[in-house]
Amino acid sequence: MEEPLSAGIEILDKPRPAYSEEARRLKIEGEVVLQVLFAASGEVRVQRLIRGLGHGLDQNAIQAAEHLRFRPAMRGGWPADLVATVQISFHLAY
Amino acid sequence: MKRTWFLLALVLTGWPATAQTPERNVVGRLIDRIVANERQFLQQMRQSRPLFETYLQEVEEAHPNAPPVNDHYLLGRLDWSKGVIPMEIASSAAFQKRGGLPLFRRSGSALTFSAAGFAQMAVPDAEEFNRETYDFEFVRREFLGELRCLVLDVAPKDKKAAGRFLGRIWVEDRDYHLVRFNGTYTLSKAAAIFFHFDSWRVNVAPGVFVPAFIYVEDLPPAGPGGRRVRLKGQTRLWGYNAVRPNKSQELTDILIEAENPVSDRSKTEDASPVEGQRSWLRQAEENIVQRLEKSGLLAPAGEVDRVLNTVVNNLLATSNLDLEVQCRLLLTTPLESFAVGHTIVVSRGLVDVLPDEASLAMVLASELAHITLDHRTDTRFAFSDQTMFEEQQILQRLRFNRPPPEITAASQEAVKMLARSPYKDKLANAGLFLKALGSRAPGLPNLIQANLSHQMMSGNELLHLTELAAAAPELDENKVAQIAALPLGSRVKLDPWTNQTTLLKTKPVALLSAREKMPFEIAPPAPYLVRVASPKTAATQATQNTAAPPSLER
Repeated sequence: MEEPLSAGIEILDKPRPAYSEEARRLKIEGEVVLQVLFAASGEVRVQRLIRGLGHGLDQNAIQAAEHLRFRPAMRGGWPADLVATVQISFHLAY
Repeated sequence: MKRTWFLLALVLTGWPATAQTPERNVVGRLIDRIVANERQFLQQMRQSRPLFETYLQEVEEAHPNAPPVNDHYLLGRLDWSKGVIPMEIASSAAFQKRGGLPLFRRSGSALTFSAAGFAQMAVPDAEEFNRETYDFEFVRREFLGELRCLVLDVAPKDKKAAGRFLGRIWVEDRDYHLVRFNGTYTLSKAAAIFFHFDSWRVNVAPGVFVPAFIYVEDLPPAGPGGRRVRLKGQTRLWGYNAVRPNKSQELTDILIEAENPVSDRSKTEDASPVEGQRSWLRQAEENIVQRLEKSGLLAPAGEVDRVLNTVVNNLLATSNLDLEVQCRLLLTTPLESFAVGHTIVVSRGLVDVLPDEASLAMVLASELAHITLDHRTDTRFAFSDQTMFEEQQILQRLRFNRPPPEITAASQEAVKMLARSPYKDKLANAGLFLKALGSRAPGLPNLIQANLSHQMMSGNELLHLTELAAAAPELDENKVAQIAALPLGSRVKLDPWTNQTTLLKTKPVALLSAREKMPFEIAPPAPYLVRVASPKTAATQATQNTAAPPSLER
């Protein structure tokens, strides 16, 4: 049985996801949900799109997720992989 | 087929027919249709309050090839609901605030113009445009751009009636809307005359044509001393259906969920004093830009802005500056540019007359320098009430004059910025433009008089960028190949319905003489009229067109 994590990931910096021109024009709002691997090496790997909005927002959400800066989770004193759900929300005031 | 027969009938019968023939009935029905459309047009116009701008230049009749010796300017809004009543925003002294026709009077040696008279030229006859008042005679069919038109001569039946339209009309032959009329009003007198004019309407929505451009040219009688001037003028109308500016704000965020707790140290919702100050300055900038756009003086963001932004990005990149700057187009004719916060505003008239991209870079660099030197916009505009006022006050309340030390500092910084830029080897023409401006400025005081900001010239003295003018080659107005400045109307095309702007797509024309250079001058219009497609057709055409990126290079 795998040893439990001694510490979860720590998010150091989050980029601001950008609206796409098309989504802005069509006034698309909502959440894009991604399954993301926060690797022990410090890399972010987007594994799959769980829920999308289209109109360029999915790509922008993936790009934002890939630019997350974090400190990896720890297991037994060593960095460890962690799979998490990342929810990127897009809202407009018009 | 039916239409072809009908037109043939017109030609063969030598219209107007004298007897009550079937052809004459058809002709009569056609005229009635034109008249009914014109009546409907006036009804539609009563719902609209477009901006209108008249600019006139005087040329000495004794020296027709010499530059203009004086000019006049009027900016206002038409209220069609009460007839054609102009509401004045700005004008030069020669425009009278009150009064309708005639357009022009001579009082001693002074010329005075009637604002309402110029507005009146948007319609041939606002009250009695019908078969009872006028004779209509078919001339020919003719294309104006893509619109096939019937051309008719129109004359008042009562030869002694004053102020009736006399001239030619062009009527598009699908729905019979008036698209152009060219002539004058009858019974002009020496002391109070009607100008000759050429008035154009454009199709802005299916079945909707609106006045967009009126060209006037005339030779009023000589004043005391026998001095005679020829007048050339343009009236432009726009802002019929400009959408209220409504900039949307965006809020985006990232939330991470996992089985183990996620610690988020990135959250910094609170703003530092520096960020607070920047936000306050941005608020002032946004309030001003939105007020100008709401009034119709500023075009919505569009194609021309993108060209200007590209030039600004070139300047920023070569100066290693990491700044967010946007450019916007002021829709008026007087030559001016100014910076509000991080927004650079350039007037349509100035973009029109600039000969090349390096000259545009020069104008933009002088405003960008104010931004890089942190010459700030008055933060009182961050208070919403400061931009809530009557439209007539707009030019008094929104003034963006800079103190001379700021202008001098920005001018020096702009020269350094240009020396590092991709335009550094092409600045001779930019300097020539400034020399041409200096040479023409004394005869064009109202073109130089900025509506909202500081002037580029004082008399014939350049107020900034003197280094560039000094380094330029000799100005030679007789040299055909030396193009120091373009005529007004050379660059920007305006949709009078939406205020959207695009760059004119004209072919390069070889000039036959130096007179054809017409720097800073008014030229007769030659618009390419098109019919607005229904949304379905427009969508099909859009998929077939691949637009080339716009550029200011010819």
